Amino acid sequence: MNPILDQLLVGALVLSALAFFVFRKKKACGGGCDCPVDRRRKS
Amino acid sequence: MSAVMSAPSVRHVAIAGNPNCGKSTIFNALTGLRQKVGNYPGVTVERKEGRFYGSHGEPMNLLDLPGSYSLQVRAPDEAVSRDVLLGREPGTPQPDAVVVVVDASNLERNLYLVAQILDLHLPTVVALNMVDMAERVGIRIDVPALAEELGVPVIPVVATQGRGLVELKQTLSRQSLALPAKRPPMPEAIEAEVRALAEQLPVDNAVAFPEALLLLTLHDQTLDDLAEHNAEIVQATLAAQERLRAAGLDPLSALVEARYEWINQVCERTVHKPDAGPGLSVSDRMDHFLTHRVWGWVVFLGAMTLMFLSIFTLAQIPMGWIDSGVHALGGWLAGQLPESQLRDLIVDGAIPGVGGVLMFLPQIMILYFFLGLLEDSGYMARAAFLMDRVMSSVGLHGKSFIPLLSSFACAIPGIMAARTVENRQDRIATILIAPLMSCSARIPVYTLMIAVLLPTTSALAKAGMMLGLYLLGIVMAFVLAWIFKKTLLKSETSMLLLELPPYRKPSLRSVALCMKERASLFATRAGTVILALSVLLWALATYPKPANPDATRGEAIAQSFAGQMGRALEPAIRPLGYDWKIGIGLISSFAAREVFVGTMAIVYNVEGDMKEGTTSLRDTMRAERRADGAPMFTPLVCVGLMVFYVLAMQCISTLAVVRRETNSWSWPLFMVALYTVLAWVGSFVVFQGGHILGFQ
Repeated sequence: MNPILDQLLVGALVLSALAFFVFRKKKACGGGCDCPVDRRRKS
Repeated sequence: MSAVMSAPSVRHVAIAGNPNCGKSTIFNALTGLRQKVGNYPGVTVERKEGRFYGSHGEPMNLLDLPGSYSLQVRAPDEAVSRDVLLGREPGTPQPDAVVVVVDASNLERNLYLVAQILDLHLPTVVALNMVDMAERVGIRIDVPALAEELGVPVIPVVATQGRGLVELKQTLSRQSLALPAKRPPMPEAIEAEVRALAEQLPVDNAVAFPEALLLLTLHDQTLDDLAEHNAEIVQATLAAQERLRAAGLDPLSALVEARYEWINQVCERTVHKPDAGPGLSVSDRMDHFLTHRVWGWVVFLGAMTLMFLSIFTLAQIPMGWIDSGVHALGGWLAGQLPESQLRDLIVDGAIPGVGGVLMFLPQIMILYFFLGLLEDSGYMARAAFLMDRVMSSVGLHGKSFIPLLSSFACAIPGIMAARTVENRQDRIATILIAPLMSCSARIPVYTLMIAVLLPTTSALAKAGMMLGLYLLGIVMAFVLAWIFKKTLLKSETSMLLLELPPYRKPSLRSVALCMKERASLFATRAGTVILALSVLLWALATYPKPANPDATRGEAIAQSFAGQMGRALEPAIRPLGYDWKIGIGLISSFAAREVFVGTMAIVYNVEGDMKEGTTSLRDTMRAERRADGAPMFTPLVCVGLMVFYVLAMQCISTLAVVRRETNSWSWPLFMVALYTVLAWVGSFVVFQGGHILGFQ
């Protein structure tokens, strides 16, 4: 694989992972059927 | 009475009722949502909102309120119900109608709240739930007569089977909902004082009467509620109470007496009960056995052992499938993709990171299957009763059991459920110890370390080890609670009054639904949070690249960012027998505990060349050596690490919720400091103490 393309793809994936944490919706926990926080979100 | 209320564009309907009478089941059935329901009181601690459509397709907002025996509140969750019903809750309009859910098998007790809600003078519908269970024990209720007595529509319902819900919907869809035709009687002197006080209150006319009634019946323990009113109102309330007392009437007890007299009359006219036969019922006999001071514990520990044994035996086969699938996928991709950093990221970072965590999905599902069965059958409330003896000996209230029980799934709902605990000191103590209950995120860590420690022993020994870890958390929680209640959080422990719900055949559908939700949540989390963390961890463990292109992988990771972080932490954890690689795992666990497993997979994969051999993480960890050639993961290190994970406070989300629930940063910061020290000391004692005793 072209080393520059390789670097670009890896950089994009790592930045996406970072962006996921920066921009994801604030949620107190993983939630679930017994998580009141998650239930409020669903409703 | 001809007073009616015309339908607004979107009608707001509140569901109120005693704890464990089926409010959330009705809410779920009407809205199609899946709120947690359980066969024990106190499952709902916050108001929940959902949308449903009436018989003519008109939208309505439905509010599910926490269970409450009375509008005279004792605990914060009950305050939510009162505030919503009185229109005090900011951002929530006063409901246009109220559905009061009552348990048909226990009408007397449920009618007290009905009486208080009728005082609100809002359009009200009574949903007479669990009529099937009442009929089963021979209770017959004359529904038209009850509707006549209460002055509001009464709809018989079996919420779990969907019976009566169409009628309930039709009633709520009426263009105009009638206001209650009657108001439960109260002593004349009290009514006169309430009316006088109501005129002085700076609130809407519609709620002035019930507000004044609540004020007048404040008792010694709830007089603090007066603080939110101005001096004139406080003065008027106290003067009115004084006048009534001078006339020989205690406002609260006189009202309660009058209400129960009315309730007894209503029940006499509408309820037919069978004569109580001689001896104990089957349910009573089961209660005697399950809450017995010896047999109760035998059953409880037996159920827990069976649960953990199943986790280790039944889950092995699907875990093997997932493990093989993950390895096969990694191997296949390694062969297909050209040699590149992208391939390393996918094969050495994302796949082992996510796969390492995903492998534990079957165990999580089995845990929820058992918890669901125990909850739905009504056993959990008996376990709470059993636990009350232990809990009261350390100064905790029996009501803390349900929050602590919820914490085995996740500390966050547990901490929120502590709202049902009335006394603030008890509530804070419950919140402080909730994270010591082993949550499901710890299962992957425990399982991995047990596998490293005991690779070939029987499932029973592994289950025993896992049970031991859970018990360690529970014992530490009780010890800390005892210390807190003797020092920081001194208060009298009040008696536990817990309603034992009826035994029920567990609904496999609801257990399966809960398992499905948990599984999808776990998988989603693995595919999002864990995936993103794995990619970041791989980058941290790969860059900066070593200057020497011939550097071994061990050397490369040692000088990577992750290696540098691990090395920075190493002096602090060396006395525990850990090296910098475990340090990386500990740091990453603050994002999510289960990431420890993924981190270990990445750290050791980077070294272990998984692309060529399919050594399992367990074997790679067992083969790991220190610089002097001695094994890294000795029994003492494994046990110490498990003890560390039992005691450490490694969850940012939990801290955020503690901050919200205690309305202070002091408690979460105190928790981090306390549990970090405790985890370090616990692990230190195991490692160094074990060495002194001659263990390895």
